[in-house]
Amino acid sequence: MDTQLSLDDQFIVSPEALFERLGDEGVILDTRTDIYFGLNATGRYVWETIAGGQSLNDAALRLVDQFAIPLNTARADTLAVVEELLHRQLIRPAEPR
Amino acid sequence: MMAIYRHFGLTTASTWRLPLPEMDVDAQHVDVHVHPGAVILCGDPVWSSQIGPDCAFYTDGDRHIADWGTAKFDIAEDHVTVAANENDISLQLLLFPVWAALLSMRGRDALHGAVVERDGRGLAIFGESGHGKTTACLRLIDMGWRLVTDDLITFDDSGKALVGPPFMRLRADRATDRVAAPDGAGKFRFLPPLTESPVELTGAIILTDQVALLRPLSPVEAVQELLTAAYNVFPTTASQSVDWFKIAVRLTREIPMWGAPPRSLSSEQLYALASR
Repeated sequence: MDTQLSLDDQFIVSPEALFERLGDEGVILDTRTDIYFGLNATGRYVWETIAGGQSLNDAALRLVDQFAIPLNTARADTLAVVEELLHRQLIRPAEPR
Repeated sequence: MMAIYRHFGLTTASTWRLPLPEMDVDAQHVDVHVHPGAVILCGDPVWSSQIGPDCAFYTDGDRHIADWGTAKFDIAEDHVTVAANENDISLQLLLFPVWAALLSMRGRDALHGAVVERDGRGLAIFGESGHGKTTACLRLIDMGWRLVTDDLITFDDSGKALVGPPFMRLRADRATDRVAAPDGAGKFRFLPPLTESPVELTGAIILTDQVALLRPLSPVEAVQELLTAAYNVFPTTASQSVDWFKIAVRLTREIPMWGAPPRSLSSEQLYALASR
């Protein structure tokens, strides 16, 4: 887990990230780099939750609800997705650290 | 002498004789003019080959200049000026990569693949060169399907696949049992039964080494594979990647996508997929 991230963190989606939902999955085109990203169902739920202005913990709770998984597992999955999205600069923290 | 042709939905007047059916159309309705003339290499260089045949591309305002050494093309939305000998190699360049650039400039970005049709149902076949697209198309044509387009796929405003040139280019070993004439560019030109109108796609097969056996592709896989099928000779517009992304998303939403290993499909499998 990235120690810089908190469960209360919220994020802003890059305006250069073009997202489309396809069934349970999602796809993103980074229009700055023309690089394409695929999101499985977990990633898609996380993206949609944080894109809606909700926190990392809200995204984890949504995974618990959708997939009936333990909260710790959901938090770990959410953090993994968020860290990847941050690394790809597809999202940024809503509050500068 | 000028003749009128129909090519990927565009009425084209050309003083070059094109290997396309001639039309009797009022010249006032022409979308694109093709004519010989001087092509000056100018503008900003956007791409040039490091290996293989020499080619270089330039952008100059609303025009693109493509230079294949002995064949040079000045491409705008509504005209193409050609500086080349009128031979089959130059015609191939005009009908496919140059036309793909022109279509892109008109908002119709293309994919690399083929479409066949039967009873109004269009089946697209995608895959890299050598992955078996032509073989699959020929098998379906032998089972009564008709050619919509080979090599370059583009769509009209309603999303239907537009009709391309009325021929397939076959290697000599594939042309032995067919009536096919050498095209002067190293292949044989085969004229299969051809559909006449744009066709709605009802399915697609992607020949790819990303799958181990024939199976439906997930949406993420399908979009990924379709993006690699972009007919990308050289960049023409700033929005080109977004346009391809939108095409890939639309097709993935609208039609079932099957993946199969290269050169793996039997006639029975093709028939079963095409008939779904």
